[in-house]
Amino acid sequence: MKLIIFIWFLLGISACVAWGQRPPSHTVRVTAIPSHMQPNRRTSWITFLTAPSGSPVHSIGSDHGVLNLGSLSYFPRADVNDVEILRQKDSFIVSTRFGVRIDLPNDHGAGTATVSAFLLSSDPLASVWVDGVRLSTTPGIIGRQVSYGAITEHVLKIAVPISMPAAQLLDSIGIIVTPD
Amino acid sequence: MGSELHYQSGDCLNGEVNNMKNKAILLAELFTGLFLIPGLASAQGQTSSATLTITAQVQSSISLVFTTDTNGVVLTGSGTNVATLNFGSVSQFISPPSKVTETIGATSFTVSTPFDIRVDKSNVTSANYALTAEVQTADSVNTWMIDTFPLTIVPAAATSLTVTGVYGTDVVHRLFLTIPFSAGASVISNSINFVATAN
Repeated sequence: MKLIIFIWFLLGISACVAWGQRPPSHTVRVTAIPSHMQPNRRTSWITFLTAPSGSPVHSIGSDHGVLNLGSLSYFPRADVNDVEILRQKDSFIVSTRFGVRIDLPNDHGAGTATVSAFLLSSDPLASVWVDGVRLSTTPGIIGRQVSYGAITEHVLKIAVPISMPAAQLLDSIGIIVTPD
Repeated sequence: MGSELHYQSGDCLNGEVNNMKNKAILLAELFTGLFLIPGLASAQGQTSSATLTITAQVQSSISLVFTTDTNGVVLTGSGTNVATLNFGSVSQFISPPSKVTETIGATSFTVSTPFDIRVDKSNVTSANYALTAEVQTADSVNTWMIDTFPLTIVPAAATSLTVTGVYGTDVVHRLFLTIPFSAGASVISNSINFVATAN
């Protein structure tokens, strides 16, 4: 009985300490947040950029970018948006580049961070890689010791099976930045 | 969960001494966990996240390529959609070149050779394809034919070769060129445009 009371006492202390770590104001994200993403205190800003010879990236507000690959086909035409297409037997792989910059508020530019990526949503028939890491709903590291303020270039690859019907392709990639 | 298992196991098997020992283990694990909880909360609080949306329009497409047939003359540009088929030097009275078949008629002779056409599809729900062909330059002397179909000449409507072409395989076709005996010696050259359409 004493043991149980003691455990509840310790749990209470722990809960109070953890509560103290919460941000002073609530932040509600519009996008779906998987279980491994917690509403958190903003410590850095993530900006998506168009890479040289990469498909155009449009920034939509803070921490949200749209990468437009244009029209894609197994037998490509001339109007692709700076996309490389590699034909395989049963699929074609679309490849392009995009840039990411991580900034700290108040010009605190020192330090590095680890960058991870995961799939928020994707076409079930298509596979997505960033820098050779096949993405899933579990974050995978795509950058280590990334300096704040520096632009890192990443390679996006999407495998589109030829059996997939012609349609709009819409994937969402989540990026997580964790300070080192 | 691990702590709970330790406790129950000791309680059932070894009596009071083990019971106390397991309580100690439980407390140690509990302390460890409690120290970790604020640390985890702190690490999670420092992450930032962003979303990159990727859009593209996947379009259906089909492709037509010519390939050299095993029994046909070698195509220049085999494996592409622009190829050249050269019969070589042909005559009524000399043997035809290798892999060229010659038949002599009453007023003309015909040379022929097989070649392959392969049509592939991607991101399209089509069971088969239709194939047409058409001579591009007017020729009032010679006659052009593929398989059993005399070819039309632009601007007439193209000749239908098949409406049930099979995707993904080399389909053998044979080009026939009929030259009248009355024609003078010359270089015969023309272009045939093939069009595959997904059904």
